[in-house]
Amino acid sequence: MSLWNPGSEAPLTLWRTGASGDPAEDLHAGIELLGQVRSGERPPTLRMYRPEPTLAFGQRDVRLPGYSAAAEAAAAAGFAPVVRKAGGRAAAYHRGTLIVDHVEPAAEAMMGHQERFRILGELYASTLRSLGLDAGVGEIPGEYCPGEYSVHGLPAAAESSREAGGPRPGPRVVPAGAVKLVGTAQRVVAGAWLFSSVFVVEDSAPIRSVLTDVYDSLGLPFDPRTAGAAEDLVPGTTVEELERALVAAYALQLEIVGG
Amino acid sequence: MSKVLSTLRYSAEHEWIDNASPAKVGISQVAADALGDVVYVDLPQVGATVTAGEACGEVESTKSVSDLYAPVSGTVVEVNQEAVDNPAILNEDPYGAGWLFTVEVSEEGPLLSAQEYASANGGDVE
Repeated sequence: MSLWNPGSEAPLTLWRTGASGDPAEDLHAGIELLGQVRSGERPPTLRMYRPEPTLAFGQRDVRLPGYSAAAEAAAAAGFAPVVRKAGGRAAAYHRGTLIVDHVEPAAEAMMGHQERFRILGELYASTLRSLGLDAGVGEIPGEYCPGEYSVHGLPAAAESSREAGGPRPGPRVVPAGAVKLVGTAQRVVAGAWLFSSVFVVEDSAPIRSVLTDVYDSLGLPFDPRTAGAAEDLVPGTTVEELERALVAAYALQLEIVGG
Repeated sequence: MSKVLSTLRYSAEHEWIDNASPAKVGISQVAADALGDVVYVDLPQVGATVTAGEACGEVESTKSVSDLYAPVSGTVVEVNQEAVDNPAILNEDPYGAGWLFTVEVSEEGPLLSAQEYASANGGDVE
């Protein structure tokens, strides 16, 4: 029985894919996977891939008057503008990030979504801690695609501002100097859920740059100092290293097959 | 505790429907409370045909998008533009101002009484 799906004892099938070269198609593959897991065509699945440069807008963003200008700004910076079917505001990712789509069947998918944010956010923070980062869960004021279960990291100089007693589970007040490292969002259908996350590991500068232009066009608040990558905090951290640590963290919870 | 109105019937996917003609549809307070702050609603268009048990729209709370399911089959007569413009009313008044659309019913899907819905999902029947 897993923490995030008490009704299931099924192992999680690891599915590493390459980027297709079409960011919209890569996003759609996650939605397609959700349908396949819902119907029983595929087992519970953990899909991982390193994406091409993409600016994934939320559906709400499309209704803003500055959306067209924001999409043009993204394209001009080399990030393909797409609209994603999971929740949240605009997020940017590229080959220095890892996309993780965790998909499970669930008889009552809607009612558990807050608990999934809490449990998987903490799992991802613990994964980053295993790589030496001071990581925690909580919304950073001014972050892109804000959410109370975003996973952040702290630079060494900010560690003294962390509360004594070590990291606590669940959202909390985030110390100054934190940078967002993992954004999480969900898509829920009757009978299944997709928990989609972006781990920013390497090369944060282009992400800060394109998000500055995009959020300016959308007329939404964004503080570029809050966008970072794991390697900014622990130099030398790589996507491959993060991927191995994440699989190991999942394997502590339940059986992982495939991959 | 979330309210479950005894005057309504419910789908397993958390939509409510009244007994009027055309029938009014919304999401239960149990679902609205579980979702958290609703920030975006996408509804079927007027004149569209909906099918019981199939997705007909979307509801987004902070960072989570859930499909909206039709509790009955039929033709959409009216949509609540106020819910589109101000989705927070789904949290504030899910059985009143937060209704989503009305539908001319051609066939009912499997519907639950308030008691049956509350037994399965929690909430106080009123």
